[in-house]
Amino acid sequence: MNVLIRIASYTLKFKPYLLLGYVCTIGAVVSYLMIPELLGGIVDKIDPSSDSESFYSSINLYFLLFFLFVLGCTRGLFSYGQNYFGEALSFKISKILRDQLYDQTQKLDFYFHNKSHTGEMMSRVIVDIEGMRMFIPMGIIRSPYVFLMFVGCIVLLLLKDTELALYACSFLVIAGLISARMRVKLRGIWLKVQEKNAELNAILQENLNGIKVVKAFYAEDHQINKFKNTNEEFKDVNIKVENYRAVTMTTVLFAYWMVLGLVLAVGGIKVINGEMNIGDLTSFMFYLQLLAMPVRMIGWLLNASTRGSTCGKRIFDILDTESEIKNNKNTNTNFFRMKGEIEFQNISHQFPDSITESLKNINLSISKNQKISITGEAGSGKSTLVQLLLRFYDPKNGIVLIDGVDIRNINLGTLRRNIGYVHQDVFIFNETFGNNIKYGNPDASMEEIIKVSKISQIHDYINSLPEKYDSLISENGANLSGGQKQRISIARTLLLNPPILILDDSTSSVDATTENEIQNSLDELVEGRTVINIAHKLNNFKKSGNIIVMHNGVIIETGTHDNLLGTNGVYKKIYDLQTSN
Amino acid sequence: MIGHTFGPMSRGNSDDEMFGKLYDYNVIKRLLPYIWRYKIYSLIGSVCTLVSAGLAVLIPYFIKIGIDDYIINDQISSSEQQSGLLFVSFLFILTMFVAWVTNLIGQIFLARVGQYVLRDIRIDMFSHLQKLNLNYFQETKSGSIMSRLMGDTNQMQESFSIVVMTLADILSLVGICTTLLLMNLKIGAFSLSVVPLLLLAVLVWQPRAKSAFINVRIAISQVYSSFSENLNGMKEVQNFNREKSNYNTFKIETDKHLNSALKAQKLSSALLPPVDILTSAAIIIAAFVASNMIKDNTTEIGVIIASVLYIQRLFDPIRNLMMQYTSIQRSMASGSRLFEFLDISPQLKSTSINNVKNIIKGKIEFKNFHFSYSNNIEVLNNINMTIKEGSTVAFIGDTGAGKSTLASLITGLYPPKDKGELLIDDQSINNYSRSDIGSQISMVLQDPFLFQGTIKENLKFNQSNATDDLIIEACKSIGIHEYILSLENGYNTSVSERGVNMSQGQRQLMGFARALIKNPKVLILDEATSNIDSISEQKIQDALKILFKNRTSIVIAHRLSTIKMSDNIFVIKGGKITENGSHKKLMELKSDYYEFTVSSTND
Repeated sequence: MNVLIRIASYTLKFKPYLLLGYVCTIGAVVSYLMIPELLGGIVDKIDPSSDSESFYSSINLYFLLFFLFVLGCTRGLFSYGQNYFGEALSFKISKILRDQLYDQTQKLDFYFHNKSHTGEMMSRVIVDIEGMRMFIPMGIIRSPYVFLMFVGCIVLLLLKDTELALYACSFLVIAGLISARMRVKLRGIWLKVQEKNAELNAILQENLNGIKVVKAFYAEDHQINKFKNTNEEFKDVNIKVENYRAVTMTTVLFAYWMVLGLVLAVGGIKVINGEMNIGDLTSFMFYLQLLAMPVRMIGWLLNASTRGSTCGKRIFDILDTESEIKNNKNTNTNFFRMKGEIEFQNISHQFPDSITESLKNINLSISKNQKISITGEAGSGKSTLVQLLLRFYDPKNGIVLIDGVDIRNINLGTLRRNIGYVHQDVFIFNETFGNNIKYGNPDASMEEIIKVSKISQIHDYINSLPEKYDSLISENGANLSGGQKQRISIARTLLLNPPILILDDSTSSVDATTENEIQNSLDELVEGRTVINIAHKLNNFKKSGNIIVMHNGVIIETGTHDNLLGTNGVYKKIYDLQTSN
Repeated sequence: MIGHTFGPMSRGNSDDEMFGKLYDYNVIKRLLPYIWRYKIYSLIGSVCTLVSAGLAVLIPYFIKIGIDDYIINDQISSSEQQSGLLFVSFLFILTMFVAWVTNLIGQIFLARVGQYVLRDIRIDMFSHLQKLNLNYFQETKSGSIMSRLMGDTNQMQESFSIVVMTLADILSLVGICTTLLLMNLKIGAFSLSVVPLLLLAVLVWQPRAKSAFINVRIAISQVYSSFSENLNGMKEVQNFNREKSNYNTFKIETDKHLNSALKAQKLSSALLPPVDILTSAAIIIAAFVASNMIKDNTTEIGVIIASVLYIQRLFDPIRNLMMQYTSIQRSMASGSRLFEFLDISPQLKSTSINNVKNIIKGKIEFKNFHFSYSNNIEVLNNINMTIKEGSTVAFIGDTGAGKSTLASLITGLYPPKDKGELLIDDQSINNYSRSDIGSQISMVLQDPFLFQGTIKENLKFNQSNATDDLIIEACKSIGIHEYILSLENGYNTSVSERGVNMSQGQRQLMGFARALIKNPKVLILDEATSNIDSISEQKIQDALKILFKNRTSIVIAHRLSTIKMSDNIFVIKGGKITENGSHKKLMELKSDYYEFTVSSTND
C-alpha cells in the first residue's frame, strides 16, 4: 500500500477532526475567492472614469466595504479552524504511531533487537514520526485547499477573460511540471537524509555507551574521524535537498511573476482598447495575487509529502516486521503455575548470519525440582539453549516441552512468568531500588522485597543509603558496580518466585566472598524449583545433581561431579585447572 | 547490553533554557566565527537574498505605473499608451528575472553556509565530547548529551534558513511600508494604523504561547526517555512480562504530550483570525480614504490597486515573523545550550606543554593519596603504593573497595583532585598529556565494548597501522582465531549484526586481543578475566605471560590463577591497602588474603 495513503488512512480514526478540517478549508477557500471579486467591484465603483453598468453599480459602497469586513472575519475564523483541526489531527495520529511503535518493539523478537541500535531506532521515533506528522496538516488538510484555490482561481480567471486566463495557465503548467520532476528527485534524497541522520545518531550513541573503552585505548581521534565521515555525508545530502528546494521554489515563483507581467501588458492593452474595464483587470490582478499563495505552497507541499513518505516508510517497515516469536492463537491466556519439568527434543539452532549451528541435536530432560549445572567454553551454546526455553528465539529444529507441553502452545506471558532468568548483562532502570527489584512483580510488599534483597546480599548496601529503597539509581546503574547490578537482578528474579530458575553466569562479576554468600543463600531458595545453573567456576557444582558439559553446541559429557571426575574428560580437565592453582 | 536513555532533558531547568531569548548576544558572538569561515558565501548569499526581497517589493509599484501612467492615462495617444505599457511590462519581467536569479543564488549559498556551519559545530561538539573526563559521563545522562548533539544542532539547522527568511521578511516589511507611504501618504498612514492593534494582539498572546510550548517540550522529552529506556532494557521487559504495564505507562505519557500539544496548537492558531480581520480592516480603510480622495481628484485608481496589493502583502511578512518568532527563540536556546556544552572544561590537557612526547617507562607510585568522586564520599583513603617498572601486580578486594578507581586514576580517566600525589616515572601525572598517557597506558575492561564495524576493525581499533599478520598473531595467542574463522566472513564479519550473539566470554577475548595489538607500556586488566571459562582461561594464561613481559601490568581479579602470576599483591579494603606482598608471604600472614584464597578455591 502506498505510504502516503496509509498515513492518510489514520485520519479516518478521527473523522470529526478530518471533517471539521475540510469544512474550514472549504470555508476559507470560498471567503478567499470572493475577496478579489469584491475588491474589483469596489475599485470599479470608486473609479470615476468607469461608466460600465456592472452588477455593483446598484450597490452602496459602504455596504460593499462592510461585506468585505465580514469576509475578512469569516476567512480568519475558517483559517483558525483549518489550522487547528489539521494540527490537532496530526498530533493525535503521531501519538497513535508512537504507541504502536512502542508496542511493536516490545513484541519483536531478539533476532530484531540484536540487530537494531538504540540510536538508530530513536532517530525513527524522533525524526521520522515528526516527518510523518508534518505531512498531515500540509498534505492532507491543506492539499485540497491548495488544489481548490488553484482550480477556483483558474475557473474565475477563465470566466473573467479567457485569453488572459490561458496565458496565466500556460505558465502555471510549466511550474507544475518543474515541481513534479523535483518531487521524484527529492524522494530519494530525503531517504538518504534520514538514513545519514540515523547513522550519525548511532555513532554518537555507541560512542557514549563505549566511552570507557574509547578512553582506555586513547581512541578519541579514531572516533572523531569516524564521526567526521558520516557528518560530511550528512552535510552533503542536506545541501542537495536545499538546492533542489531552492531551485523548485524560486522557479515556480518566477513563473508566477512572469504571468503577472504578461497580464499587466495584455490586460492593459485590452483596457486601452476598451475590450475590458479597469475593475475586471483589478480583480484579475487580485486573483493572481491570491494564486501566489498556493503556488508558494506547492513547494512546501512537495517537500512535506516526500518527507512524509520516506519517514513513513521507515516507520511502517518496523510496524510491518513480523515477530518470529508469536503467541499461538489458541493458547490459554489465564496464568497458571508450571510444575517445571523441562525437555529439549532434538534441538538444533542456527543464527541467521552464522554459517555454523550454535546448537546441534540437543536432547535433554530435566525433571521437576531437579538442579542441573551447565558448563563449557565461551560460545559453546549454553546461553542460547536456555534462551530457547524463554522463547527469545525458537529453535530451527526440534521442540522444547515444559510439563509435557510444546512451549509454542503456551501463552508467552505465562511461559516467561514461570521462568526466572538471571543473565550476564543486566539492565537497571532509571528508577528507585525498590521499583527495580519489583520490576516483574509490581504488587510485591516491602517485606518480600527486603527478603529477596537479603538473599541476594544487596539489602545491607541499599539500607546504608539515605533514602534506602526509595533511592534513585542513575541511568543504567552508572553508580553501581557490576556485582551490585547483578545482585539487584538476582533479587528481581527471586521476587517472581518462579518454578523454573535459570542462573546464566550470574555471579561471575561478583567477588569470591560475596559469591559464596549469595550461593549459600540461594541454596535455601532453590528448594522446590527446577534450577539451571550456568557457570564457569566449578566450586558449586558438587551439590548439583546433574552436570552437563557443552562444547561447540553439543552436549559432550553428563553426570554427577564424582562421575565426571572419574571419566577423565573435559570436566576433569577444567576442574584440575581450577584447583591446581 | 549497556544502554542509555534519552533522559528528560531538563526537569528543573529555567524557562530560558527551554525556550530562549529572541536575541542572545552570547550565541550570536559564538556563532559569528563559524559563519566568518564562509564569509564569501555568506556575503554573496545575504546580498542576493536582500536584493531579491527588495525587487519583489516593487511588483505592485510596477502595476501602479502601468495603470496610472499608461492604461488609464487619457493625456497620451492610444499607441503611446500601448508602447509605454509594453515597455513597463518588459522592464517588470526583466526586474523579476534578476529577482529570480538573486533569489536562487541567495538561497543556495546561504543554505550551504548553514550546512557547513552545522557540520563544523557537530564536529566540534563531538571532539569536545571525547576530551571530557569520565566524571562528566557519569553525571550526565547520555540522553541529554544525545539531545544536545543531535536535537539542538537540528534545531539550529532550522534556524539558519529562518534567520535569512526573517531578514528578507523584515526587508519586505520596511519596503512595503515605505512604498505605501511614498505612493500616497494619506492612504498609507491610515491603512497602517491597524498595525499597532496587531502588535497588541501579539503581546497578549506571546507569554501564554511560551508556557504552552515549554510544556510540550517537557512532555515529549519524557516520551523519548521512556521509549529509549525500554529499548535498552528489552530483555528485562520481555523476560518479566512488563509489556502491558509498560505500554500503559507509555500511553499515559503520550497522552500528556498530546494534550499539551493540542493546547499549544490552539494558541498558535489563535493569531490567524486577528491577522485576517485586520488585513480586511486595513483594505477597507484604504478604500474608504481613496474613494474620497478620488472624488477630490487627489489620487488615481492605480494607487488604490497598488495600495491594496501592498496591504495584502504587508501581513505576509508579519505573519511569517510571528511564526518564526518561536523558532528563533528555540534556536537561541539550542545555541546557548550547545555553546555551554563546548565551554565545559575538559580537565585533561590534550598536549604536553612543550609538545614533546614523554616516554613512559612504567613506574607508578601513589603517595598519601586520597580520592573522592563528585559526591565527596572518599573512595580512596591514604594510599601508599609503589609499582616497579615492568612488574606485575594484582589488586584484590571486595566489590566497591576502590580497586577500579585506583586503576582508572592511573589511566588518567579521572584527574586526581584531592590530597596526595600520583607519580608516573617519578613525575606527577599532571605533567603528562592525555596523548602521553593514552598512547602508552591501556586498560582492558570488564565489558569490552564492541563498536559497529567488522571484527578486524574492532581489533585494530585506533591502531590503524596494525598489519593483518599482527592481528591474526594476537588472536591466535589469545585463542579466538578459530572462532573468528568459523564466522561467515571471518575477520570481516560485522559485529553489529552478530555482536549480541557473541558470548560475553568471546567478547572478552576480543578485548584481550585488542590490547595485545595495541602493545602499551602499562596494561591494566580490570576484572577482565571474570567472564572467561576455565578452558579459555588456561589458553590466555599463557598469552598473559607473554603479554605481561616487558611492561608494567596491573591485574584486578577474582581468580587466583591470575593473581598468583603477579610479583606483588595489594589487598584493598574500604579504600585502604590492608596488606601487600607476594602470594607466599601473604598466605603466611593468614589474614585477609588467606581468607580470600580459601573462599576462591573450593574449600
